[in-house]
Amino acid sequence: MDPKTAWHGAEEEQGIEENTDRVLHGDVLDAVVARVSALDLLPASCVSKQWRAAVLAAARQSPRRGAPWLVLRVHGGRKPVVHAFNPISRNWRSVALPFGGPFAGRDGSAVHVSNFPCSAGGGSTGGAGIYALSSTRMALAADLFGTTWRELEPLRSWRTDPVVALVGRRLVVAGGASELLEDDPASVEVWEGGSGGWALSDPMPAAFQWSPAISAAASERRLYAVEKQPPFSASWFDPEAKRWGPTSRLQIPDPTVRYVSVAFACGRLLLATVSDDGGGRLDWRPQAVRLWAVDQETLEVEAEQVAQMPPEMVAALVDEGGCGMRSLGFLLSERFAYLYNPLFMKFFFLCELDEGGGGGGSRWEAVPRSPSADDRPMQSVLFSCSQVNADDSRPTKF
Amino acid sequence: MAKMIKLVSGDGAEFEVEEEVAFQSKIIKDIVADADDVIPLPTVSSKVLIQVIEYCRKHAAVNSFPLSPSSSAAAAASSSSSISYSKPVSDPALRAWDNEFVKLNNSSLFDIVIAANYLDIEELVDLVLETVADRIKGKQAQEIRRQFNIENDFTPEEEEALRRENSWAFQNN
Repeated sequence: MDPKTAWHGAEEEQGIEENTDRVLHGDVLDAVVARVSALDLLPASCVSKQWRAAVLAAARQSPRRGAPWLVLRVHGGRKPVVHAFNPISRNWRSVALPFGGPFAGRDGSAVHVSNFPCSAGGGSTGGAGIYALSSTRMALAADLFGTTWRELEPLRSWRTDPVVALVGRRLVVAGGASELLEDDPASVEVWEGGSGGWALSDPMPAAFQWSPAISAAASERRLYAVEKQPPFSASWFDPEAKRWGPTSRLQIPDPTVRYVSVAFACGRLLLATVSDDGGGRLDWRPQAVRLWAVDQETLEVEAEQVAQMPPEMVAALVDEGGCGMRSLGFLLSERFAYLYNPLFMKFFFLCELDEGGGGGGSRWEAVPRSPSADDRPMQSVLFSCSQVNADDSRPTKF
Repeated sequence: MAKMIKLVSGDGAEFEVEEEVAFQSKIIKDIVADADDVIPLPTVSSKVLIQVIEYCRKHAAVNSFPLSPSSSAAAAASSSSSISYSKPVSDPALRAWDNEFVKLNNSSLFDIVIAANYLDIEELVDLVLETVADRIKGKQAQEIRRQFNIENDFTPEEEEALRRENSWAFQNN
């Protein structure tokens, strides 16, 4: 018997089904759903109860779904907009930001919007949140894009550009207090949630007094603070005990490191470093980008690096015109990290770290910027990352 | 002369195929290794078996290399060997043939993927799942229901709640 296309002719129509109660259920439905990206699955999750169950089950399984979204918030200027990258569908979405901003009844003070690290655990998957600060008023973004806000009780001190982190269920705001208005610019406040209000704590160590930029990471129990530039002063803060740990200067195995950034995920404190090619103070190019593990008690940097960015990606962090780098962007959530140059956004680099302490590998992928964004936007840009699940479209919960 | 294998469908029809065609199925390859040249396939109807054999014949001509270790599509999705996720067929002419091959209704595709999974023909399983997945992407819920003839068992209240929950994702649409 010669298998020909005779059978096909009768079935060219794709469309209305006849005997369909056995079609597309069970394992086959699960296998199909596993291949569809989270965003494309949103309509599918509304089709029927069986389909919804299949979509939610798939959302928990594929390892790629652990990758967080990358969110760029371009504010200031006439048309504030948010670009969000979905790592599964590899699509960017752009959403115009509503006017009005986070604070009702503005009193004219400048509003400063920035990101802050969130510890994982207790149902949260970590990543970075967004806060807005205006004199003593503070609000946290209630959704991934920062279009809706939740205002907290006012801070005790007027601050600009403090160090902020969500450590477990406590929000820590450290430093940045106005030298004119406040007694102690280095004061630290901790918010416990509920009706506790802000509690004063040990002030930031003196080593940070003149730091132009501080990178913060949050574990379930501690805030880690590290200067982004040499001499890389570092310390940790325990908001439950309300005290700081020992302060030291990070000893990085690579002596050519220019800038660092810290983040915490999967029980590890990671340090991202960018080192230069020795080309002189003004004209240097990034030579290597590495990830290192840092001891959470002693703040010693482990001798063996955790991961290294492929050299062709390092080269793509700056452009030929030499806009250079002034800091290293580092966003971490579970075992995925985005690394980038905040001044030149042609590419972002997504890194997946393998399981296991030492000796694990890493995989890197270049993410081109949103088609509707610029390589070098004129306005200020805020970066954050967050997990998005099919069953929870608001990733940050307080 | 090429060695022939005899496949017997669930409804008793017999099909003689060249060994390399039949060996697209890893299961058949393993069975034949135990020196058994007549293979009963009680769960596969002759209609489906004809279609599967046609696929295997086309792909046997192209596949010079041994099959990679197979797994069901769901297991493949959980393998962490690379961030990239699907395995497209590289030869464009073969891909075009595959696209024609899957111009079937959902019922037939369902039968084929069940049989291909049973026979462990990984590329055919992938092809059908990818095809069905494409029929979901980009569609609204009502269109998906029409495509697959699925009854909506949500109450109006439940539907409204779902719509509200997902509204943030469609702000720009």
